[in-house]
Amino acid sequence: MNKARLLIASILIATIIFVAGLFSGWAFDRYRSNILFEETRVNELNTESFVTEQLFLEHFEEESCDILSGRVPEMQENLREVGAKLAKLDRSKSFDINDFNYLKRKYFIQEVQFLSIIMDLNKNCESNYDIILYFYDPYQAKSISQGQILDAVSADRNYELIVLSFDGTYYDEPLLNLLVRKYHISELPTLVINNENLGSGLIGIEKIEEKLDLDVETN
Amino acid sequence: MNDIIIWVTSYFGLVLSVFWILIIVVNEKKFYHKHEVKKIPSVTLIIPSMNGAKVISETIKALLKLNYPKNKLEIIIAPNNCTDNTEEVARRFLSKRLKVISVKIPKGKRGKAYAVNYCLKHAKGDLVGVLDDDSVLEKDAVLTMVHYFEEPNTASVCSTCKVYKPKNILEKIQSIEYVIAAFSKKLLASIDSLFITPGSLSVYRKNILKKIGGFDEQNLTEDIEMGVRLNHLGYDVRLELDSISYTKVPRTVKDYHHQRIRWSRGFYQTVIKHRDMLLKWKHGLLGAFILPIILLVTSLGMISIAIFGYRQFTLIFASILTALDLKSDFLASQSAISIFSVSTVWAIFMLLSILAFFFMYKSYVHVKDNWKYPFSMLIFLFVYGILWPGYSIAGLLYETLNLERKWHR
Repeated sequence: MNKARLLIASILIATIIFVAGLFSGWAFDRYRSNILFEETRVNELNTESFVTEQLFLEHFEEESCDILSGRVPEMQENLREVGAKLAKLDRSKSFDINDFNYLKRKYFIQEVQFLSIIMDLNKNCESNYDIILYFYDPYQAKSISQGQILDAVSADRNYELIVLSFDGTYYDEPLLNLLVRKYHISELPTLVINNENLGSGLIGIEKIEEKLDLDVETN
Repeated sequence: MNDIIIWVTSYFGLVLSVFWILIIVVNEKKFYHKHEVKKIPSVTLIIPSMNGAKVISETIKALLKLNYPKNKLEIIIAPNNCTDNTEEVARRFLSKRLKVISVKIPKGKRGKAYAVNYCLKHAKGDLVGVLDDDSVLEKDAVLTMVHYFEEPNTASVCSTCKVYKPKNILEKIQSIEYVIAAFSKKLLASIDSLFITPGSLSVYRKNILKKIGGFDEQNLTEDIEMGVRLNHLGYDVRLELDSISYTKVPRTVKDYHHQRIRWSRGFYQTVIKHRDMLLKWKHGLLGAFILPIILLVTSLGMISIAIFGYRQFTLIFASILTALDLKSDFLASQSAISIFSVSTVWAIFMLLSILAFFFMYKSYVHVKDNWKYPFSMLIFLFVYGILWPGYSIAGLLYETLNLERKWHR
């Protein structure tokens, strides 16, 4: 094989391997996006079903709260799973941007819907869910650390603690501005625990648990 | 932008890897094609030495044992600007075929290059071999090389350079590197692109060496410059796997560092000098592909390592912050580790390591060396490679900033 052929063959083979790699990556992404779309649809249906159930149960006051609370863990788990998958896709950067934005907005809206449901349960059913709103920047070391701290906190508290994470840099969603104004978010990361802004910067596990325990005593 | 750089680096890295593998597959069987030498040519071996009193005896003893017709072998020892007794040691071996020519190096000239050029005038052989004062040759080192000079376009033949008696871990790692480098050079020679004529032993056709003006007396790596220049002028540079020379390598990190900076600077000096070769097919694969892709992959590799390193550093730093804040709660640190253990970059890294292992295996087979130093091999495979782009950028910086050029062994 002469030298020019050797070079051309190398470029061709490398290009084929590279394109095959890109294609498999794209195929895997399609597969993952289909799963995510499916899960988001399920969440959407769950929320809709919950709201309908709430309206329906208003006619039978005594049992409604228990029945509604019973559905919270499932909804919370589904939402957490979608959130985790979206975060992974965000990091991999190989996802179709339009699909990703659509899913992210959907997830954002579902989080706010879920927040309203939990607040409603706390208000009308005397439930005592602790709510942590976590505003973060996905590419900031401190935010990543804060996320890990929250994972550790929620692992100990099961479903009594609702942690909702909001990408504070995602301005495509108008709902974010509402939350930012409401909770006076000026820097990232920021934690809002039971409607109280704990301030920006990394907040350790002890301080979070202290605040949660204090709220339990107050209630 | 960061991701584009990593993708582009991966693509060109892949092209280069496939290219090497194809060369191995296509040319492997031709590596040992032996020619009978019709007429053994006369050879002059020139050994420039600056303060090499401690090492030169061993070098000379090995030369005197060479399996080469005595009437066709001339040895010139060239002590230059010595402050020790190199000349006195060399003179102990004076004979009909061993001369000592003391050379005074003018200020601003590179000692080795000047000394060789000076001795060239006194050399009687048709071929001229140049070796360092700490090189030790195997008996057949010269005899096995000369058949290549029957090809009229061959200007230089290089020996296979191995490390002489490695003792500490740094020397052992370098001994692995030298085996792989020798094999790489053989591959380059098989596509007429060998651009280094190593100082441990390279033999040249004297009339060509004289015609092109001898070695560059300004260059920090005269052996790289000579290799590139010969290619530039259309000559062939070959490597004989059966010709074995041993060299001593830096024993300390400081010496190693100085040597690698010098090599890197010398490479850039040479590329700048011969820049008109780049991307031109008339200068063969070396000008059209090898040199440009080395420059591209090293520069992109440096940027990619910087991006990758920065990303991993921030993650690790975040984990440390978290662990401290959690007062030894390792849960958080573990979740940070899981983020990068599954990343694509690590997949690419593993793939390249497998290719490197394959290349290493082939190198040991063809250079006929034994598999030894397993711990050093692991370091070589997984850590050592990161140093190359590091030294490349350091050399480029030193050269760009025009820092003082010093010669280190």
